[in-house]
Amino acid sequence: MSCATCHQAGRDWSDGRARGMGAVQLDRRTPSLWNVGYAHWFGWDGAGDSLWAQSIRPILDPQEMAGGAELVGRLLRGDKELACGYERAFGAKPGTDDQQLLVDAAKALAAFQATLVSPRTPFDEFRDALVAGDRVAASRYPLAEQRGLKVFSGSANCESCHYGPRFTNGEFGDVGIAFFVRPGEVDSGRFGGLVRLLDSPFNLLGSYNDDASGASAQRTRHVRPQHSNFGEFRVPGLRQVARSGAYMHDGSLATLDAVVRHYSEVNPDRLHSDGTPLVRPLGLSPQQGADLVAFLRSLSVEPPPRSPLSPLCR
Amino acid sequence: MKILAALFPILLATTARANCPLDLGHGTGWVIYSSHYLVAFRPEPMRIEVGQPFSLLLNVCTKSNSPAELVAVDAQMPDHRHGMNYRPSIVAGTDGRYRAEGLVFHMPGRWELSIDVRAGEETERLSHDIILK
Repeated sequence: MSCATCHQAGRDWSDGRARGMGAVQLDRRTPSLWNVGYAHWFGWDGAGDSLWAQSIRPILDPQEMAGGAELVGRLLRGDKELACGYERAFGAKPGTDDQQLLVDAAKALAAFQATLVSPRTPFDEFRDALVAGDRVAASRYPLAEQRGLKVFSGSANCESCHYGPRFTNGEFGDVGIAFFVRPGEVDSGRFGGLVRLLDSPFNLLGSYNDDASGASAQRTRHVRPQHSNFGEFRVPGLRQVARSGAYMHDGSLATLDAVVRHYSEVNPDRLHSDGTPLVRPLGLSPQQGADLVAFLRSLSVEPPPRSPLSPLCR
Repeated sequence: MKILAALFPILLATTARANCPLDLGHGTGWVIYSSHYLVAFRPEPMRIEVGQPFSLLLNVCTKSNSPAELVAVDAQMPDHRHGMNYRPSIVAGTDGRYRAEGLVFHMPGRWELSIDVRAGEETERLSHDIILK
């Protein structure tokens, strides 16, 4: 098993499954890696505060890759090409400190993942045409998508959370998906994620952070655990969203139409009583729902082929 | 993103005491006041962006010129009934100013900034609305 077992290039860096499959069937969907380098919290519960720390988590998780620092250390020391690549990247041969090698490997994995930037979309062409005042170019963006954008930014208020160029504010919300993963067992989401974050030796407050200024740890230093974190999950970005279903943190909705229907008909009783009233049944008409889906689809395109990776060492 | 209103020019500079200047530099910022307090503050960086950490540089003054201190800074979105996901920390500078670090406004809309100040036994909360688009 490798990272690419679940994060497959040909499946938009996910796996096309409703729920991930590691050493066992998992309770959450495999998130796409598009634009992951721009995030500030990682994983559905934000238990990682850096891309490299997040890259360590599945390696160690007995339910996912069920590996360990010793395994990574052996691999880096024993594989000729990896050992050579390590020396090129870090300026020394792989040593005997397996935990340090695990961190270094994760930082290299993070450097690769940060290159996974989603391509331009029809929506970007439309936005740029508006900014340039090019009405001809803007008119190429279909009317259904334009109406869907109005619903997204207007009455549906999607952009309170799906904000900015990646269509996410990078934070967390409870959007009315059931907490129970099986009878008697819940996924606490951000609540448990914060516990794991602050307990991790790999968080940005720890000794493995290369940033001596402490600036990169600002969010971790100030994050505020709250009761309302229970059942909150990270707001996913929407770029390439039409290509990476199923949807929601638990893969419980199979299509974008089902997602829009969920927000149109969400049961307020499923939301935190002390939570944000942002999520409410939108009561969209069939036309509005179809337009919103058309807009969401316009955030996705076939990605250009990637150049083959060069060998680490020749 | 842009703050809806440009940072206001300091309105009450004429009331500032010499040992409690309300001008925090750069010629911009906000001054809010009650019957007892004057609080001058400005963000760093100057432009608050949705989802991006920022700090506030503050000076807390009393109209009677008695010593005053900053107790806490927080913010809420009253329309959404939630606060920030982060708890700011306060650092007192050697120049009498304060720095509140670690604020993040994670959504566009109206944020109500609350600033708790104290002089002696008396604590008071001053508030100010900031609208992010």
